[in-house]
Amino acid sequence: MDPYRVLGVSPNASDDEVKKAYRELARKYHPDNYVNNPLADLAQEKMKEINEAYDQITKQRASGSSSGGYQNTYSSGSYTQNTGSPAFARVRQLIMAGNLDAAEQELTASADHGAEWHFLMGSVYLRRGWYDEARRYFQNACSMDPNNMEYRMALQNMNQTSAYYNQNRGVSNGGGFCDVCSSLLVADCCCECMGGDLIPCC
Amino acid sequence: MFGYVRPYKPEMKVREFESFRAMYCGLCHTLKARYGFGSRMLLSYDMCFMALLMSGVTSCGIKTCYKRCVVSPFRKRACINENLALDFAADCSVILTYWKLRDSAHDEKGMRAMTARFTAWLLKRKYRKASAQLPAFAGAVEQGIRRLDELERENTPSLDRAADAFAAMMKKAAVGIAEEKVRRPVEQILYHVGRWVYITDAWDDLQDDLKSGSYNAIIARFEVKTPEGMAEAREAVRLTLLQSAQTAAAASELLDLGRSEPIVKNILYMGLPAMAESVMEGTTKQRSSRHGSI
Repeated sequence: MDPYRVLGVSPNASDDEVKKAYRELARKYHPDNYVNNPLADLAQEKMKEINEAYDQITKQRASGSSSGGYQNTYSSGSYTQNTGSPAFARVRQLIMAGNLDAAEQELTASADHGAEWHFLMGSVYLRRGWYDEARRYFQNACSMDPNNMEYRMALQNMNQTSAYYNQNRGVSNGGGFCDVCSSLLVADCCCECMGGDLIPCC
Repeated sequence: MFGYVRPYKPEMKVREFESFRAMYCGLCHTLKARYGFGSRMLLSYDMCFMALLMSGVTSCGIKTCYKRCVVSPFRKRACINENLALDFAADCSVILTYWKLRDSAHDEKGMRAMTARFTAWLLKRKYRKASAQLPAFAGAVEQGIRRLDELERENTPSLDRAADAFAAMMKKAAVGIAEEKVRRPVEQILYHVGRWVYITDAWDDLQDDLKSGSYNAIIARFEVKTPEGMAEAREAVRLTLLQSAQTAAAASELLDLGRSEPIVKNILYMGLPAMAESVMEGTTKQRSSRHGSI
């Protein structure tokens, strides 16, 4: 495979152009864009191809010195942590393996309908692309156990779209103004620590 | 079909728009060539998207010619012809419209049911021809419409379950793609665009269904009782639509779409969100032409 074709640049492209093309592609196939997506394996393959192509080009050009591109790990959602009952540990494994029907069966058979049950049910629906159901179950899990970070993260992810998607549809993610405000406040606090004051009223 | 799946024109290059229109004209001419003059009524943006997607992944030869037609009788327009993807999209249009008509003949009352029954009868022979071409898809659509009918009668409170019946039948259109690495992303695009279309259509019909009291997946899910009650459902529906569009867009990045690529990406990244916004603002129905056929 021609590495230049993989990156979509001409063999005469400058180092910067190659790097730019590589960065753009790496952002496109970044694991963050394929979280809980059944096609994550295909995206991972693409990523590997791009990394190899970039490595090959940099090696050819620098004759020997490897640069080692982005090291991305496609952990497809970590469903292995903080599990209460052993039955749910099995369900988590089934979800990880992509065996959603079996996971759903085990969950329906389970008598324990606690926060974790709702979270796992939501995870099954999320993998299926049933986003409305997933959000509903994550909401239940969060209201039953508001302090659990895993459930809160899952719900938060349902309430937004990825930065890559937003950028391509011409919507920016940033609350730029808020950032300015909060950094000013932080700066003020720092100044006050040092004995000075940036914002006199607070 | 519905006519919701369109590109967002302000972000299109002129040559992309020309090539989109050539595909649209091509589909219209293909419908006429395969199914006779009246079948042009089946033309829709949704099936034009299907043609673009399939033409992209199969990279079948594209021939452009210039033709006059009823809409543009004086100036010849660029038009794609002899494309397998267009034949495929034309067959799909006939199959989907036929079952949609059969369904309305069953659900509606009075004059509307009569019209639907009559049109379905007119389409019957064309449907036989189309379903002989795509037996698996025709079977899936029949099954999908039946399943939807069941769910409607149960008055299912799950928006996703209803949308899934529709989306799963659209996904079956990809069944003929042999290579797995291509088929899976195409299936995901069709599933999520199908889900998006179903939910968008449910929102579009919300006011009418509230008045008439017929089944509507959004009313059932959010227990909307008055037009004012829609506000609560709005944000949730907006999000879920965006998520489907995003999943379809992510799948499109894994495909080599050839000449269709910029148009398909425009539709998935910008066309769908813009259309959803316009449906939710209620500005689509005022436009006279929805190009959704029948």
